[in-house]
Amino acid sequence: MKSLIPLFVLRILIGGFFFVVGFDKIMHPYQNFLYVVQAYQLFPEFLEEIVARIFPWMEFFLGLFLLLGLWLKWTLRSFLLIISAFLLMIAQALIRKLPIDNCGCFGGLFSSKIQHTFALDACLWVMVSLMLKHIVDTEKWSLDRYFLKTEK
Amino acid sequence: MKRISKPVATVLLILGCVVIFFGFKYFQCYSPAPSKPAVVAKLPQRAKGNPTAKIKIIEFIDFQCPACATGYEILNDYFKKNPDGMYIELRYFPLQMHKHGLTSARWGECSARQGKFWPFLDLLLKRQKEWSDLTDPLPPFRAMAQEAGLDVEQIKVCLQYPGLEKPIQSDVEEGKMRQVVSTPSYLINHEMIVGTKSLQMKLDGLLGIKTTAP
Repeated sequence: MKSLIPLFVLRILIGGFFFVVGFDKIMHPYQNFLYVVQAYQLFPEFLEEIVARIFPWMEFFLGLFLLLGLWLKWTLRSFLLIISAFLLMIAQALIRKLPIDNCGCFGGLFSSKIQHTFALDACLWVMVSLMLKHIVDTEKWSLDRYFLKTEK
Repeated sequence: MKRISKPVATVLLILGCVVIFFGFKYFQCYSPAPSKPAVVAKLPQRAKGNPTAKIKIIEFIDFQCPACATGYEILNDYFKKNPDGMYIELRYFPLQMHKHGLTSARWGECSARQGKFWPFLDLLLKRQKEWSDLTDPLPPFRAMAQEAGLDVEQIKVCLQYPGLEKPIQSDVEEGKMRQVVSTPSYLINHEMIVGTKSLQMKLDGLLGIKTTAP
């Protein structure tokens, strides 16, 4: 498939983005992200704690796997799931008109209004779907391809 | 040479990252650099309560942040019930996303210099909605300053003082050093707590109150 940006470049960019955002979150006290999770008023208390502790690690590792091109099919599927969850969380916050100033999705790196983040997540969802659909192009310069060659 | 398989490489990658992370955290914890400052020592104008109390709180606050106004109200309720059991110290942490965050912190600092920080802050946060969206918040600031018993002429002079932002900057730097990214953030007996829900849960726990978190 011929696209404006080669899919493997897109893969590296999106993977790198999630890797950095996840890294920033895990390097800061988890209470910062717990505050973000609480703002969406979606989970019971015990789940908020679990989500706040686990989610940044998921972002970090999935970002790393996407960046390196490791277990690409599964990684991309997981990304679709995660981004869908983001979209649902933001949509319910918008519908319920929750007083959320800043989506808090990017840790301490930068702030963004939830409406803008919703648009960004929708774009990411489309791009990840495209990568999954054209997995052969996405796999270029990936560890998956390296292991496929060496294991033959 | 035998090459490693993909699953083994994956496990090694994950383990490597976890080891690096915990190593980093370990060095962060045990580096001699910025020590946890004693809550009591400085800023008497922006502190209240009993300095020997068991519950010591440092709050990083942005006066334009709506959650900070709520948090302030909650904290005041607990404080009124336990004036001898708590010690509260406020640190400025104006966020860039709030256009009057820094201006209100400057006014707060000038009110502290006249020894009327708390009465001014009470009004500032209680009426936050009235000035938050204004292009020019100075008229309401002046009115609140007068109401709090401040000398407005002295505030005008104070606002011109070139070193006025030094304590604000120093608080912001301290907050960043402590990895504060949003407001309200609290250090309750050196433990980081972010947001009003966690604040209530923590204080309820410390004071032995059955949880009332929303």
